[in-house]
Amino acid sequence: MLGEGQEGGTPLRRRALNFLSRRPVIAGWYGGVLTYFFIFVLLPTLFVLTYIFTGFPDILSLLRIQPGALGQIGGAVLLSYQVAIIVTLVDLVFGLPLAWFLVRRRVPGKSFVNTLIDLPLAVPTAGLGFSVALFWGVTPFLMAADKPFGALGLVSTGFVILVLLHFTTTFPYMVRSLAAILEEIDIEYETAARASGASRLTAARTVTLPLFRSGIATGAILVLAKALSDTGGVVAALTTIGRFSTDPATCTASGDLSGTALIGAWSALRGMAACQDVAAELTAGLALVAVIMIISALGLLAVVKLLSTRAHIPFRRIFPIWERRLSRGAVPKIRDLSSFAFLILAVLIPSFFLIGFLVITAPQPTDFGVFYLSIALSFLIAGIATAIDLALGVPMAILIVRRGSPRVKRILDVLVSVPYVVPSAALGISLFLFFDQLRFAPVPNLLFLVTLAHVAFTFPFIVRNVVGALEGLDPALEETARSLGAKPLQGFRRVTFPLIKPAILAGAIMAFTRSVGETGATLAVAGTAIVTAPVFIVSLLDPANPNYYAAALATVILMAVSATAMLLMRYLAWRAR
Amino acid sequence: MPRLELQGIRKTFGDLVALDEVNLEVEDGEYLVILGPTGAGKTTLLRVIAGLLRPDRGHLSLDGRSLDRIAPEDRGIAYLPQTYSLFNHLTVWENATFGPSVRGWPPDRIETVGREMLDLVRLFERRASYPRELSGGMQQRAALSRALATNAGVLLLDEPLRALDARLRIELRRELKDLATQLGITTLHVTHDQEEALSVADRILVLRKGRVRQHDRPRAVYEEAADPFVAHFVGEANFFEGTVVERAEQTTTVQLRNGRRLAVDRVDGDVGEAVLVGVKIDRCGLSLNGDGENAIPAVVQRILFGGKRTTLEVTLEGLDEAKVKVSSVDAAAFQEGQRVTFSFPRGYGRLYPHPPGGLAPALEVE
Repeated sequence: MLGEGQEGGTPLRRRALNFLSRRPVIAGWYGGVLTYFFIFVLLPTLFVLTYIFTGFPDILSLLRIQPGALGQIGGAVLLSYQVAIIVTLVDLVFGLPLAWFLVRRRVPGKSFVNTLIDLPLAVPTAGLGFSVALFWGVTPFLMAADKPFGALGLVSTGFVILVLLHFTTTFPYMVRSLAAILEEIDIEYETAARASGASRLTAARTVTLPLFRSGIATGAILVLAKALSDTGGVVAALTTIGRFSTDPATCTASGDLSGTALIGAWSALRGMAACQDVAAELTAGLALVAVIMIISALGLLAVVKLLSTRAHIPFRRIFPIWERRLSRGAVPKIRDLSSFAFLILAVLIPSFFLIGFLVITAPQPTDFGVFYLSIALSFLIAGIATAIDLALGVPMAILIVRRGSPRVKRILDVLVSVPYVVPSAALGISLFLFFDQLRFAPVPNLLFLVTLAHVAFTFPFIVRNVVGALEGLDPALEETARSLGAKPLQGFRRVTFPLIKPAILAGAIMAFTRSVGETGATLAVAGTAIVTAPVFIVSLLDPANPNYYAAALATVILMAVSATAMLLMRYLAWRAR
Repeated sequence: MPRLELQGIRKTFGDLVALDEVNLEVEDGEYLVILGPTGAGKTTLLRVIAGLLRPDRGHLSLDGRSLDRIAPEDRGIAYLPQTYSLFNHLTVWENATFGPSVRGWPPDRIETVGREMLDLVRLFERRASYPRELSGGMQQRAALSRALATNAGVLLLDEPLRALDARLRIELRRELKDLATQLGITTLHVTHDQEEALSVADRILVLRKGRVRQHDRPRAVYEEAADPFVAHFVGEANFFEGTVVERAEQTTTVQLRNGRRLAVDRVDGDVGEAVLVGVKIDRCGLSLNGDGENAIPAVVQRILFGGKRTTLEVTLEGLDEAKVKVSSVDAAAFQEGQRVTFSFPRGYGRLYPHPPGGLAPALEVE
């Protein structure tokens, strides 16, 4: 360890350590963390719920000037849920065999497949949406000469393109969370079942799968949340196939809009000069969408949790002959092959199709000043947000795991997860309203607000990761350190921290990449005033003045940076073991 | 002056009383073994002493200085938990010098102490290894060196030998004791293994359900058990329920429910009082010819061979079962189903008041 043997010697340092280890100081620190969490994360997230009452006149006014708005909101939310539920189910069907394959089989090249699955997570969803639409969709604004080789040009409806898009964005999450839980389940159970005469399928279905319910629930929640909350990908994909447009003249949006697409559209309109006189109405509309999305997301979360603990997902009856037949010969092979085919066709090719496009398309004149600035801005916001996440998230995790009564622990645990399942665009709206009400947000502060929003939705990544690591850590280690003479702070730095470092790092990288890729929350807080890279990518797809070349270039750059970060994380995690 | 003193320590977890009115004095340099079944509160007691748990009531002091408001790191008490809690990300050397290093000792002193402690446990050659590269015994020694290096006056060992295999356990418990004696360190060693306790302790503290049942020298705990529980837990005993019918100058006579009388060289209890006669199973004997004091006819039910010694289970005429532990050479004379005579010398019998809740609950291990 660094600095071994030289530290703690100076009286000043001793005194500092003593001071920092004093009860009131520690209590103050934790108090500060909790205060921040409630005021800057939780309260703004839920603030929008009150706005429905205070902003009621504006909502009525919106309905007067745009009579179709209510129907549009309803249709959008419905579309979001249809897409999310279908995507979740299909992901489960294909994800389960794939996770099984990755955990239980010992085959060469497995770690390569593992890395490949994660890569789409590194691509900002705005870029992914663009890439997916280029591959699957009809592209009305792309000149025939520029049509990339291999583009299918099949899909022209919003519903289908959104389903296809979300396969790409969510499938890695599903496989990951299923594999993680499967890893924990002792294979001995299955071996015992098979030794008692059960076929492979029967054993897996009746023994492992029930143990696996929480894994399925986690995966389903993650996928649902992700599919419901993505904005950048949705807007990019819909724009590319021509099913998303905003009309500044009437200040209305049209197309096959899902919930977040509507948020994206109205947020953009609200920021336009032409729509300033209906800004309050648009805000009210946004709040309404946000409230519906937040409440339904929380409801869905509860339902999935309930289903996963109560319902018997696999039926109890056993069909020995049929299950035995299905366990042998061609069926398992077909199952594995179709999972892989799904991975390649629905996830990998659409994700990386853009690279091919970039290679063949002719460069277009691009304002590289804005281009680089947007990328720099993205990294700046993500960097600050991650730093704040770390400073607050780690103590928060310690607070959840090591302090307080079990009940307080459970409540905090749930509260921390709220921003996890609430669509980030809705969260952005809520945050905007909260600070707007405080008269806190003239334009120069927009950057500050955007950063706060990014902290709010990335915060759970750090906390969840560190909570997981701390729960796996024997508390006796810290206690022993203390009885050996370490102050609490020393114990943390010398014992706890080195052991949970991989988890902290993993959380930090997840938070960072998530922040870099986020579109919806940024749009919701700042409209198009803060041009982060994903916002920039979306704006480049504008049918009025499309620059697909720059959009592809920006995406590939972000992809490269994020992928490098992710590979680095894998390497560090591997080395730590 | 007693080195470590506990007064009226009480600790509860919800409804569970883990420690109840524990009073204890541990002398300077003493090797105290805390013995008790699982759930007796042994670990809780160590954690309270280490400062990792706050007692609900009661006081602790070390050398006359109150420990009540002293943080664990400032108590000068080193705690070695069951799992050793070696820091897996640090080498043996970094583990051993962890205490001195966080206390900010000068580098040359850390160097000396580290060397000294690792030499003491014969691990200096392995100083660059990581804990996972060590065998179970080495890990135990590494953890011990880490605890000793803090220069703590008191060492708390929670089941220090639990994870080792039987042979090694016997070797290391001796070594542990010698080391503690050599360094003059006051040691509290928790175990549920009565043999381990008897062989290393200066004194034994028997805990049951959070209460101190006996605190005495090993031989006294074994031979002069304070209550039926201790008599049975430390070395197993036979019990006979009866009533005092006669008290002579040196002997008490107890009448059993089958009408037989037992005599023990004790004077305790009044005539007519319900009592228990307890006698260690290895102080009882069997004979084929009806000899012996306190003889009761019996039938051999089972013979359990145990290497050097063999345990015979017998049913006593008109009474319950009893056990007899004899050398395997002597046991060879008996067969299952054989009619024999059970007996024990009157000098080995102990008298206890009859437990109010009955015999079985008084002996229960959990």
